[in-house]
Amino acid sequence: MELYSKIVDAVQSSTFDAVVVTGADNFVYMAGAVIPFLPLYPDSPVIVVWPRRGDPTVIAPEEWEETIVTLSSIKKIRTYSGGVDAFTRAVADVLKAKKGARIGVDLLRVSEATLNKLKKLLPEMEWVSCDGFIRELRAVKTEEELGLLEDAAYRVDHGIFGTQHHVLITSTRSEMSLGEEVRVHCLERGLDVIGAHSVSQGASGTNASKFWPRAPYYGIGHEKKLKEGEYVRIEARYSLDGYWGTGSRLMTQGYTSAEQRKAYGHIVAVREAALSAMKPGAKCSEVYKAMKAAAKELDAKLVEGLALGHGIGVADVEAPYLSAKDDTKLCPGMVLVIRPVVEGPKGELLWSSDTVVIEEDGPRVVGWYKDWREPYVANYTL
Amino acid sequence: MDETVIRRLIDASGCSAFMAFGADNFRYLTGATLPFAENYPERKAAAIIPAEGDTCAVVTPVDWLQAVKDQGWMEATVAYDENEGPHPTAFVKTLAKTLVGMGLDKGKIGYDAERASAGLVEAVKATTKAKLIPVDNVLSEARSVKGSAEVALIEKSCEFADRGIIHALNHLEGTLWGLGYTVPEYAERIRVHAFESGASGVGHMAVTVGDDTRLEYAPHRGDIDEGLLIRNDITSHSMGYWCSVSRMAFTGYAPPEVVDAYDENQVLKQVAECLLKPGARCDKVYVKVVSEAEKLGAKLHGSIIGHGVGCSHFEAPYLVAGYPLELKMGNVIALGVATLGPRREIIVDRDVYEITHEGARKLSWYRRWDRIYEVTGFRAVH
Repeated sequence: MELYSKIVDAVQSSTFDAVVVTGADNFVYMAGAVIPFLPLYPDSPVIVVWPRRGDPTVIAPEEWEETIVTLSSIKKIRTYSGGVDAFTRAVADVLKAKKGARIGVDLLRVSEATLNKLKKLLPEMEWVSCDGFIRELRAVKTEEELGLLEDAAYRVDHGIFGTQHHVLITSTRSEMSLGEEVRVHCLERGLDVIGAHSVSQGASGTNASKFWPRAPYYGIGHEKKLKEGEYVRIEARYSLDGYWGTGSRLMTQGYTSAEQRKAYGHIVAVREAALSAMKPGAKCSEVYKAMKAAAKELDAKLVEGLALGHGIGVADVEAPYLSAKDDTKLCPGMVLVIRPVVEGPKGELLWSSDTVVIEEDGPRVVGWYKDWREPYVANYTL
Repeated sequence: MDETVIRRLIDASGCSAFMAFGADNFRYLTGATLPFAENYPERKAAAIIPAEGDTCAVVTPVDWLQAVKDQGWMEATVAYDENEGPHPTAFVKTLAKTLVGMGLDKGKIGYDAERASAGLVEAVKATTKAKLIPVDNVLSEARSVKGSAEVALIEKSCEFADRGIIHALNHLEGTLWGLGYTVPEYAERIRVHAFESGASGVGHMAVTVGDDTRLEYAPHRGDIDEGLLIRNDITSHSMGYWCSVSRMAFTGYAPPEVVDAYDENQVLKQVAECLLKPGARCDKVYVKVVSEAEKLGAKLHGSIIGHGVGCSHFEAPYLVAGYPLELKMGNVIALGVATLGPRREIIVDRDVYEITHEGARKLSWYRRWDRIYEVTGFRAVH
């Protein structure tokens, strides 16, 4: 209920007469309902209508009523039958008493077609963006959210490490079985393997030179076996009661070569630069610049075009972003994932994601099952 | 999808190009499945297909580009730099430049307004003189009629999904009286077996057991013991073409009231199946099932009994009240009549059919599910 109360207070002190959210991520956050399939049903929209005064209402397809009521912290529900037209009529019906009201809507989520239908049905309403409002709300976590995120980060790291522990040089395995073992180890540690994007992946050698080898078999993996001397990237993204843990760790198949060590050193240096900069009050763009500067100083091959980190919460990638133009000021309660990608000695794309909680006195790395200032080195034999 | 067909559609719409933002429409126009794009609303991609000329283009984040190329996309690819601005600015900047480069900075461009967020469209409109015209209906109608290659992929995806379920059920045999399966472990077995059989991705997967079968989805928790009803809902794809199947099982011998409820469900499904022919109106198929359910005294769950599958696992046409379109040859329908069992359990046996001139051809033929699957086997240890 901590989150529910936080949202009540935020909506009451906002400039909106009601906040309505349609994005699957925003819905999960506001409704407190972990429903992993929502992003895959854009033609069956759902919405939370949260008035400044009074109880919030969920509007959803008839067949999902009991599911949502059971899983959500919002118990008032209105259902519809049919497609987007029926949905917008149901929304209009819930909002019609608020003539001339200022409605905050997540413009970066609601489809243009849906919004246009709502505007036609409710011409007297003023529809304004509440994206910034939701973004800020989501970015700073409650104690309960922080607990779940820290726990998820730890379990994911443990799941990856547990898998690495099984890898032997003399009795190797394929990338496919590696990915599967990560998933099983994460399951064994109580993580939820739900949602289409809840996957793990192992990429080694030349396959590691791609973000997504073997498209469109994302997170399924190749038959390719791990070979001695290769860099292996292992990724996993799983959740715990709706809060995500995302990890990527590196392993060398046998003793780490000097070149491999150098590339890993670049990742560590860029991470350290981020941690030094991630003080409350610092802008995300300043952290980004510090990370870029560290990479430049070492002549590290940082992959361009990507943000170097992001927030994490009810989505595994969310605002704020450690990017050049994100001027969000860090503050206690934010949780971010540092994720610079560097090129390895053989063109591998290497990253080692670290989850960081911003606290009053600075950043705290959470979830390390192992000291990741070094990569994992696979054993030769049992 | 055949490029000439797409270009004919664009031409017929009076547009100089189509621009698709939705992951499903992107797949349809390019042949490339993006890595879980639906789950990342602040990471964007667009496919731009002009009515004439040689050049098509896609714009994606840096880490998705290779995946698109690896799926056979031979035309232009442009990555946007996430550091050029917050969402959606960075994407829109690059998109606008790409449109200018393609000579599409004026005239009419058709786009999918039901997939693009209002905020994104507003930002795109601010950067181009081209007039944006919603063409959702054109895309939806074109997508709903499949070619033989598309049907073949859906047929394969049905086989993979059914194999996933039956193989997982086979694993349950002999495990009910000792250290058996947990729900998450069993669900994972479905996914793994679907992958091992050849599926290239799993979307919605919900395993509900016992009392949870009253819901469409419940977090995967607890053990699978004897005497429980299980509903297995899975959507999966083969190279981007989706199926949607649901299968019912019972741990042990199903009691008569469950068998009766399942048989009743089968009767209603057969009523609908017989009506799946070219020229049949979707709403009338639905109404007929409702009236037959009333005669039988069966309780329907929800207000939809079928929908199309293709580049999405849930698309037009819809077998629902108020949807008057007629079925056509080449439609592929996932038919699942949901009825309530003796304890309000949701019972569904969802199959996929191609509409042919002779009627409905079942694509999910891998196994007959006309009787509820009973987990009654034993385990030999030797």
